Amino acid sequence: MKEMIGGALQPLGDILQRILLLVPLPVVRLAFLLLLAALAFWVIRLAPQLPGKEESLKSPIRDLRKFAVILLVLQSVFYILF
Amino acid sequence: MGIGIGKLTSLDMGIIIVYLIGVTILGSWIGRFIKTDEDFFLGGHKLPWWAIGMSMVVSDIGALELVGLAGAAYTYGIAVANFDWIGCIPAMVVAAFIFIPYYWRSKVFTVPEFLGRRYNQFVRSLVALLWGVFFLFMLGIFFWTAGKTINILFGWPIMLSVVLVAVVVGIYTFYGGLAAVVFLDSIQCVVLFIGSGIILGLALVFTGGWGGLVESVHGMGPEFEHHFKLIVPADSPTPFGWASVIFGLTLVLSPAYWLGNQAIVQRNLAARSEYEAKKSVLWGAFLKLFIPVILVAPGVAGLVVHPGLENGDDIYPMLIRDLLPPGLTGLVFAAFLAALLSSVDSYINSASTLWTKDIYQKFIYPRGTNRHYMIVGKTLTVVFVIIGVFLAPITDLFPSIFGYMQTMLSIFQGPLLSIIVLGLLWRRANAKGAISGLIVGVMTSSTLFWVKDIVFTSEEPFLYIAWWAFLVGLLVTVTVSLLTRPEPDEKLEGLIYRSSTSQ
Repeated sequence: MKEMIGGALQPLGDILQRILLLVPLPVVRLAFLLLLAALAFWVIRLAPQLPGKEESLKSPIRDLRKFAVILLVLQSVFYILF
Repeated sequence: MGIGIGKLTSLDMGIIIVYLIGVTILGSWIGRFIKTDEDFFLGGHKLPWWAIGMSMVVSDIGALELVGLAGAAYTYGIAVANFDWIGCIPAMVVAAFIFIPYYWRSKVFTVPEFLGRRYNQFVRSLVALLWGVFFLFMLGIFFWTAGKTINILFGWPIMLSVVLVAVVVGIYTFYGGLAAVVFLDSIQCVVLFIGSGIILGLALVFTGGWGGLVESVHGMGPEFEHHFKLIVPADSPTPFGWASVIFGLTLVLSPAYWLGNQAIVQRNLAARSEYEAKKSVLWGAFLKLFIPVILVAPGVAGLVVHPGLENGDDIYPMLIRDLLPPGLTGLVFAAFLAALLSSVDSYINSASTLWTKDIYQKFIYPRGTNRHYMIVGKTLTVVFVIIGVFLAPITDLFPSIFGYMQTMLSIFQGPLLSIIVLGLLWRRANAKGAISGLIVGVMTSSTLFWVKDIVFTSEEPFLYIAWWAFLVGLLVTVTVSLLTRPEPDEKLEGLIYRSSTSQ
């Protein structure tokens, strides 16, 4: 039974792996960076993420969208460097 | 006994004793403010964002991870950092802006409770039972690995170490509930960062800085070519191939962890406001950026300090033994204890919350007072500590039990994520679809684990399996939902994400 199921799935696995191996690593790096950039773009397009009226918050980054974008930029730097 | 760090000086011992006593007293003192079940399980919704973020991060690092991250970095290079970077940051950003606000607003105690409101009580019970049983087994494993790590590093008897960890964690979790867990975790986070930062600094001094480290490692031969690359080929026999990282980790297991694991999400539910709940996740993500720096980099530096180790996991204890002067060893030992305690306390508290709110209150005694459920939660905390201590040595009789539990986690996390995501993002998803998606998804991952040796080339294909189980869970939930009656609109009020109103 195990061999039957595994044998049926193996060719599919082989095909997928061959396709994945065709992708050059620089393209993969670009895809990683695009994923982070797309996420940052989505965050920027959200409504402002500000504290409620009752919350008095003295912070240089009140809008959490900025915090998230800084995070994603820092993350991207690591993937550019390494 | 393995690799020990050598004899502790009286200064080291003093630091450790002061740390353990301080943690216990502080946690118990927090207990003075605990009056209701909401105080015990959710810190009375008064916990600050900075403490929650620090607690999230440090709860994610247990004894095994501390030694294992450095060990994996020694063996495979910095690609292991993917687990904390691309494997965490995107999921945490999405969790902060989409999922956490909805959980927080719905004022639930647990993730299964949210699923119960979104779908039905059967889904809630099924998910609660899965997590509840999983947490109990994990407690035994955590206690045993804590005892074993202390034994390997410092030579203390395993059961003595298990009991020591159980007593310390048991006391402050019993008295202070989630508030004690979160505040002590934040202290433990500071200790962990300082202790690990010292190791990193000394290791880099030894290797002549980062430039010297890179040069030395590359000079060791072509097999170390990928040691400073985050992106490694898809056919890598390790779990760090780029395809498994992006599909299994970034898109499935990491989101499942940061927005579906009760032990993590419970902290966000305890924030003072929705804004602080979101901020706590982003703060946690910010701290996550530094975890590979302080834990992975020393592992790679270990290649220069101690080249040619057969077991990479020995490197962190060896760095402690060889690089640290007396006094600092005590501080780093405290960092180790911090990592151990922070994982155990989180699982005890969350197990107690799940069993009290989703099982006891739901099925056994629904008409209790807030104080009644707090007492039940405290009692279960003690019971689970005792169960954990008893399960701990049994864990050793089944050497592969940790592997099985990790397998179990990845078996149900993919399908679980599919119903959480669809539940919040797609109005048309219904209870029948969710139950079918969960069951068929779990069957898919179980089957793939069974035939993994035939189908996958990777030695540890759990990331690929999680991806396929998620995908199947998603497809089945969508198909069955479309073929069956939709949930009534009034039931879904406030439970579906609308980007235009997300504040």
